[in-house]
This record gives sequence, C-alpha cells and structure tokens, in this order.
Amino acid sequence: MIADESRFMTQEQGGIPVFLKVLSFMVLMVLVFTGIANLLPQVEGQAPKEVKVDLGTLTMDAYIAMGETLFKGKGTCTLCHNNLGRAPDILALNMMDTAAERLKDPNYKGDAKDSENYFHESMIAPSKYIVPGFGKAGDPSPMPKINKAPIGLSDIEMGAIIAFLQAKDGAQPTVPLPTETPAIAETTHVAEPPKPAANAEEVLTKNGCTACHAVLDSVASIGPSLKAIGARATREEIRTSIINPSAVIVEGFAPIMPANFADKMMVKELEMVVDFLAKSTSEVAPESSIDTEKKGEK
Amino acid sequence: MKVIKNWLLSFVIAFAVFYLMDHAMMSMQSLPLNADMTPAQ
Amino acid sequence: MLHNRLPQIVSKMAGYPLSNNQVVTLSQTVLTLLALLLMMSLVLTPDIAWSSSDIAKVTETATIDHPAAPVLGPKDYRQIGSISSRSFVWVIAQLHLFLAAFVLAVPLFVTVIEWIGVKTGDQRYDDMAHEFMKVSMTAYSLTALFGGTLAFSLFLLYPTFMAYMMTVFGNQVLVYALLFFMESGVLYVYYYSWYALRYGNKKYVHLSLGVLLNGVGTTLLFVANAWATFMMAPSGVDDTGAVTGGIWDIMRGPLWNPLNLHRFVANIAFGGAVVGAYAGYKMLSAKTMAQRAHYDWMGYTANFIAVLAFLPLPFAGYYLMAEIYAYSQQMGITAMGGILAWLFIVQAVLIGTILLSANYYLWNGMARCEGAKRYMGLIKYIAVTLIVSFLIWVTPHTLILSAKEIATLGGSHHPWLGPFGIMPAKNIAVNLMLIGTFLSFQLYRRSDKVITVPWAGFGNALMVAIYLVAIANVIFLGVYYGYFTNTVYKVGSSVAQVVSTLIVIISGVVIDSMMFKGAKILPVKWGYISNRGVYALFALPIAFTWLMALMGYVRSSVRTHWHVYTIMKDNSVDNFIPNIGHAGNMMTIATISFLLLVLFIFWVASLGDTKQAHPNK
Repeated sequence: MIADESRFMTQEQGGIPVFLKVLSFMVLMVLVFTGIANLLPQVEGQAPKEVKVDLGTLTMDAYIAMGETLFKGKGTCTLCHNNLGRAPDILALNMMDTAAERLKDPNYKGDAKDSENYFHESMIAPSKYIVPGFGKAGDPSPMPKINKAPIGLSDIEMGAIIAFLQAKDGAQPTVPLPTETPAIAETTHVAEPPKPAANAEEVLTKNGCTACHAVLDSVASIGPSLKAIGARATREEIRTSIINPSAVIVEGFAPIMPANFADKMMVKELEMVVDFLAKSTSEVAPESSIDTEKKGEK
Repeated sequence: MKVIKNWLLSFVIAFAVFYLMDHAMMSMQSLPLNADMTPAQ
Repeated sequence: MLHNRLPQIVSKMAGYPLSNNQVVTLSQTVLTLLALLLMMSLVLTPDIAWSSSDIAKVTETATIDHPAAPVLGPKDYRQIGSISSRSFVWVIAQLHLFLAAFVLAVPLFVTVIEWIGVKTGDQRYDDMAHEFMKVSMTAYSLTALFGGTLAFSLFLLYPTFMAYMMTVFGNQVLVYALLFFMESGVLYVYYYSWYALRYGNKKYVHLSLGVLLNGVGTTLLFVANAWATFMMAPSGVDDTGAVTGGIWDIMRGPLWNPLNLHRFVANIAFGGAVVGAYAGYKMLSAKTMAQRAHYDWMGYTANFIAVLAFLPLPFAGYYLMAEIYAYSQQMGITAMGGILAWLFIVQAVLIGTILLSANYYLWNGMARCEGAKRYMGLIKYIAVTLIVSFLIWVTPHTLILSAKEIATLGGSHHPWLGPFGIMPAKNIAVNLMLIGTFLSFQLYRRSDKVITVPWAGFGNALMVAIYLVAIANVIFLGVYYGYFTNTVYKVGSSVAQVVSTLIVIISGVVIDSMMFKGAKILPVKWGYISNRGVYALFALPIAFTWLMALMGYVRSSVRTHWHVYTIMKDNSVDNFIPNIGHAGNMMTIATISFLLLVLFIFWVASLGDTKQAHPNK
C-alpha cells in the first residue's frame, strides 16, 4: 500500500468497530431531531366538541358570547381573519360601518340590504362579493362556505356569529334569538290523533308531506315529487325514505326532511302511505283509496 | 479587451433572460408587471 | 431461439435487412412503449371503461346502491389491548412507506446505471447496478410483509372506515393486487436473468425488462396514492360521501398528480441516499485500498443520484402545497400558518441538514482530485450562504406569548421574526441554498477537467453572470414583492424565484457539457475522501427518512378531525392532531425500526456472497 494511503485503513488499527460508530452516529442524529421536536411549543389540535345549549334560557348576551366563542373556535374564522393580510381583520374593524361600506360599493352584486343579511350571505355564498384587495381576479373567493363541511355551522351558530359581529362594536344585534323548534317544523307539526288515519291521503296531509312534496293536489317542490315515485323506487326504498330520510338524499334537494316520522306515524299509517306511493307510478293520481267526497282535503 | 467584451456580453444576456423570465412568469399567473417591475394591477 | 430469429422475422416484415442492433433497439423501444402505455392508460385516459359517464347522467345520486358515508361511533373502532390504534397503524404504515419508497426507487436508477454501462462499455457500472438490485430484493419482501400487516391492521382497527373505502374504490384494490403479481414476476426475471442476458442483443432485452419493472412500480405508486389523496380531497363523491363518479373520477382528485410527482421524485432521492449509506459503510470497512476506491465511487454515484433528485423536490412540494391551497385555503393555512406551522420549521432543520451534508460530501470529495484546488477558495462563500440561509429558513414567525411577554416585546412579533419568519424570506433562503448546492456540485464536476474549448473565456463569464444575476433576481423578487406589494404578487413571485434557480441548474448542465468537449481529464484518486466526509453519506438517509415521516405527519394531520375530509368525521378517541413532541417520538420509533431493518437488508445482501470454507482444508 502507498504510504499516504495508510491513513485511510484505520480499521486495521483496531478501536471501535465501524458498525458501532456508524450506528451510534445515526441514532444520535435521530435523537437530536427528536429533541428539537420535543423542545418546541407543544399544541394539540382538538376536534370541535358538541356543546349542549338550552335554547329556552338563552339570553342575547349569552348568544353574542356564543358567537364570539364560535368565531375563535369551531368557525375557524381567525385562521384567516387576522392582521396578517389574508382576509379582512374583522376583530379590528368596526363591522357595522364596514358592512355599510360594502353594500354601497357599486361592485356589490349580492342580495343583502342590511348588515345581518350581508354577514349571512358572506358566510353561505362568499363568492357573491369579494372585498377589493383580497383574492385573485377572476377566481372564486378563497373563503369556504361556512354552512358546509368541513366547518358546517348550523343556522343557529351562524346567527350567533352575526350577533357577535353586530354587537362587538356597540350596535344592537338584529338577529332573532333562536327558539326551541326550528321554523319548518312549526308549519308541518300537527297534533297526533289518538286513532290511526283512515287512509293514505289523510296520513299524507296530516304529516305535512304536501308542504314539501308534489303529491295529491300539492305542487310543492321543496322535496322531490312523489307523483310517480312508485316507478322509481321499491316499497322498501319508499319505507326507508320516510323513516330514515338521511339514508338517501336526492341530488339537488336539501337534507331537511324531518327524521321523526318513525315516532309520529303508526305502523298502519306508514304501511298505508307506502302502499299508496308504491302504486303512484304515473303523474296522474292513482285510483283513490277513499270515497270521492273525502278526496284530497287539506 | 476580449475579456471585457466577454463579461459585458455575458451580463447583458443574463439580465435580458431574467428580466424577460420575470415578466413571463408573473403574466402567466395574471399578475402583470410594468416595465419597471412594479405591479400593474 | 426467438432472439436469433427475430432479426430475420422483422427484416422480412420490413422488406429490407435490419442489423441485430437495429432490431433489438426496436424491440426495446416497443417494450418501453408498452410499459409507458400501461402506466398512461391508468393515468391519463379519461374514457376508460371504469369511468362515470353512465352514472353521471342519473339525476339521483345517493341511492340504496350508492349510500352516503356512514357516521362513525365508538363501536366502529377497535383497539389492541391498550395500544392506541392510531399509533399502531402510524408505525406500520410509515415502515411500509419507507420500504416501498426504497424498492420503487432502486430499479429506477439501476436501469439508468445499467444503460450508462452499455453506452460507455464500462463493466463497473453494470456490476454496481447489479449490486444495488441485490440489496433491493430483500427489501421487496419486507415491503410486501408490512403492506399486508398494514392492510390487516386497518381492517381490524378501523372496520367501518375501511368498509366505506372499499365501497368507494371497489375493484381497484384487486387491480393493485394484480399489479403486484406483475411486479414480482418482472422483478424476479429482471434480477435473476442479469448474467443470462448480459451482452449484445440480450442486454437490450434485459434493459427493457428494467423499464417494464419501473412502469409497473410507478403504476403501483400512483394507485396507492389515490387512497391518500381521496382522504384529503375527495372526488367522485357528493357531499354526503355517496359515490357519484367512476373509479377514474375518484382517483383523479386535485391532489393526486401533485402527490404522484412529489413521491416519484422523492423516492429516487431517498433510494439514492439509502444505497449511498450502504456504499459508505462498505467503504469504511474496506480491507484494501482497491475495495475502498470501489465503494467510494459507488457512494459518489449514489449521492449524485440523491442530490440530483433532491434539487427539484422543493418545487414538487411547493406545487403540492399550492394545489392544497387551491382546493381549500383552510387546509393550506392549517398546514402552514396554523397549528402545523411549527412542523415546517422542523422541516427546515431537516432540509438544512440534507443540504449541508450533501455539500460537505462534495467539498470533502474534492480531495480526490488535484484540479479541485483552484475552486477551494469559493467553498467558504457557499458555506456562509448555506448557513445564513438555513438560519433564516429556521426562523419561526408566531410565538405563543403570554401577555407580559407581549408587553416586553412591544408587539405580538419580535422585530426580527416579523420579517424573517415569513415566506418571502424563506423562499429567498431556500433558492439560495439550492443555487449554492448546485454550485458545489458544478465545481466538483469541473475539478477533474481542464477545459480546452476556445470559447472557454466567454463560457465561464456567462456562467458567472448567470449565477450573479440569478442570485440578485431571487433576492429582489423576494424582498420587493414579498414586503412591498400585496399578497397575490408576493405568492406569485415565488414562481419566478424557482424558475431563476432552474435556469441556473439547466444552463449550468448545458454550458458545462458543451465546454467539457475535448477537455483534458485529470486523474481522480477514488478512496481519497476523508472518513469525516463519508459520514455525510450516513447523515443523508437519516435526515431523509425522518423528513419523510414528518411529512407523513403533516399529510395526516392536515385532515384535522376527518377520516375523509368534509365527508366522514373521525369520531375515535384519537381524533385530535397530536402535538409535535409525540409525533417526533413516533417518527423516531419508525426511523430507528427502519434503520434496523435496513441493516438486516444489507446483511442479507452480503450473506449471499459469503462462503464458509470447508473445515478440512
């Protein structure tokens, strides 16, 4: 071996085996990285927790406070709405004045006429109006739809945030306090009769099906038309759709069908309706199952 | 002399390439620039 | 035999005589095209039979046959004793990914090295390629074992989630299995036929097998990537999770191709780093100078591959991040500006380690050649640039401060952290680090050559001008658009910065290859690198491995409390993002386990060559 090459053949001179040197070097390096990770600020990202709110005892102040908690928590608003320039710094701005300014902007093409509706529209349809200086020209708003996943705030929660936005700078919130029962149940709720209904038509009317679905004489379009449902779905599918509406949501319709018919309807009533709907295979009403005088009463 | 010419030509080419590339890359993203590199929007 | 008759057959078909080489080049081309076609048919064609055109026409989306995603409750999760299911799956999945990255990467550069061996006629390349493949073979069966264990763990511990994933992906999982049959078949034939298909026409057949192997492997990667990207950015399903599209719509989500690109390139860098460690180890334990020289050369080649693949990786990562932001600003900000922001500081530490190690190896390697002495003076400038850039990159922005601390500081951000802690500064830093690394690389490549072309003066001046103007451009773009214009210009300027770096790299490669024509080659004394320098070959794979695990932690956490983002909530006991210390510990467990597995793999690879002497002799 050439003289100056002997400095490379250190292995022959004994000492710690190469294997151990290399292994300990690598393990030490990993431990340095681990140490760095453990020295940094430790933060866990918790999932939003379900909080029970007693609507009966809710005051406006509590509602506003709820809005503030949501703004900084589940709503994840402060992720972008802060002083780093990504979105308007809501907490620093007077939002009532800001809302008035926005509505006056000639570029504003939305449907809101006051601050409450402007805030609501900003949450459910953020691309309707993008504040100048934010976002990229021609692209939709970078803000997600707040009532959809992953944030998925309910109407009550959005109302709380609106109340907070209005109240934080001293104005009086215009959002109504939420009550126990949501509006849609109000119009369709009917006192349960002690006896089962006489026929399918009565069941349909009594349970408010005609309020949303086109069936019997109704032309409502909030839910899918049931006039020819028998041609599209089996008995099993119709039954499932009545007692567990969220199992299948028809495209283009909101998932708002009440899920408590299994509790409200008697078994006999359910079967009558399923029979009736299964026979509804064309747009023309099927042969009525009752005497002609009692047909189609609301 | 040749040395100076080499360097001069090299820097002119380099500046031209990077200047044009900057404009091209920003315009491609719908972020146009003025001739003095300030934003045009 | 067909390979003898093939030239005659093809010549007859063509109508005129073709030489052997022409025929086998033709057959190689055909096989290559077939491999590419296989890959592309799964990747590019929208009108494949599995796609959604029929289903899309149906107005009703969710039906009994296409149910919404289930809502998970406590009964949908299992645990093994008191071991956290999340932790268990985490380690198994990470080990599977480490091994899979390795076995997909090795055939990629082995085929290239084999091809270089054919072009240069240098037998050493072929032998090195064969040696790399040998290491990969043991790793392959371990990959499959961990894959199987991972699958079993997922079905055992997350049965309802997996049931939903099966509903979504359907028969595609069997396609994945079928691809494994192909991968195994081609792999075994490719490896075991190495000396049977060694010279002439047969070598081209062997090369084609290598290309086919890579086609199948890449397809496997792309298919598996779809599962991860579906969980992050679901496509082909409606808001409730009911399947509305065909398998094609499900696979081709917004994050699929960015992840495909990123993982494909990163695998190569990772694989090169691991075999580099193999070479480095064999080099340090070499018994003769000849052995040391051989493994030094092997380590250099492996490092070359690792660094070459590593250079474009930040851009692939940036593209992936940009697509995440485009899909959901919220997801993007959670990753980089929210709870996971500190992670990217740790990432900066790791990438700094990788770049410093790679440069250190190159600088030490300059001891191999006399011609390197003229460039030694530049090293200190590159070193300073690297260190300053690294420090800027590692600077955090937002610290969690108490009210008292905010009062003492005079604001929510430290006056230095404010400007240095944000992306414009970091983009400048990373681009300068990449330019610096490429410079080290370019200097190393020049160190064993004396350039003789007549236009060398102009060529060198141009190269220097490109470097200086590129550096000035990167700094200008970062400072001006980063701090003095609005957000969109700030973000947009990073593209021009990246392209500046790419111009340096591409022009460096092109100009040098033109200037090296007819150059006088100086002798390179392989094996003459100091042992200290060789340790860089061990630092590289460790940093890469831990970095891969870190990025896996980001990828999973960015979904926050969702199994499938916006569609299926995570309602398990582990539905929180773990803090970075816990994550670091998990990643370390996975990395050290992988280290031990790799030692086993290397040991088995050398075991095959060990022969016990007969006791009587």
